[in-house]
Amino acid sequence: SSSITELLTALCDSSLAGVSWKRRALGGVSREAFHKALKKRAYGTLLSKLFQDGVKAPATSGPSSPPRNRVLMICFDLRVAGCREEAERLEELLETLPEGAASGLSELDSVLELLVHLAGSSPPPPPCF
Amino acid sequence: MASASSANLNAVRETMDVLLEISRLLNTGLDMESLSICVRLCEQGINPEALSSVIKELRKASETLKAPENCTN
Repeated sequence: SSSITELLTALCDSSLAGVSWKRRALGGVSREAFHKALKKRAYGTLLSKLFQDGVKAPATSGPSSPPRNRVLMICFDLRVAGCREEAERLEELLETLPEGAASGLSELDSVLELLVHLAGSSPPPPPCF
Repeated sequence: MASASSANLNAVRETMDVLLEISRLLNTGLDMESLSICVRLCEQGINPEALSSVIKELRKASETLKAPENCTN
């Protein structure tokens, strides 16, 4: 298993996939310098969130619904938006997803919560012809 | 013992496949590699909301680098 530092470095690396560094180096932007800036930004965001969590009042944070229910809410939204097939497939996948130790993952709910937070953050893939 | 660990490995693989498809349907922009990294970060105790902010920040930063390149292509 890797440390948080190694995993964040790997996350920065994966976000730089597809950048042509040959051309960039001519423009004065080196991979190392940009990678360092990315890591700084990643840690800055992570730490600022930690501090925000610390000052959050318990009354305003409230109990949040389980991530599976939040995915089901997204299914409902998809249906309302006319995307019935996607909603049905999502519900089907949620039923297939094993719970607890059967999944082989110790933090499955956290991963689902992450996916809910990232939902819609990327444009949908272009339709196939 | 070996069969127990291979059964667990199969369970992880199946769960990851389902998670990747859920991720695609939700348009999260994560590929298998970044999803695997995120799963391991969650298992290390990183708050998922904070992690989602980190991913969005990294995307914003790398988009600024990719944008002029896309214009020239």
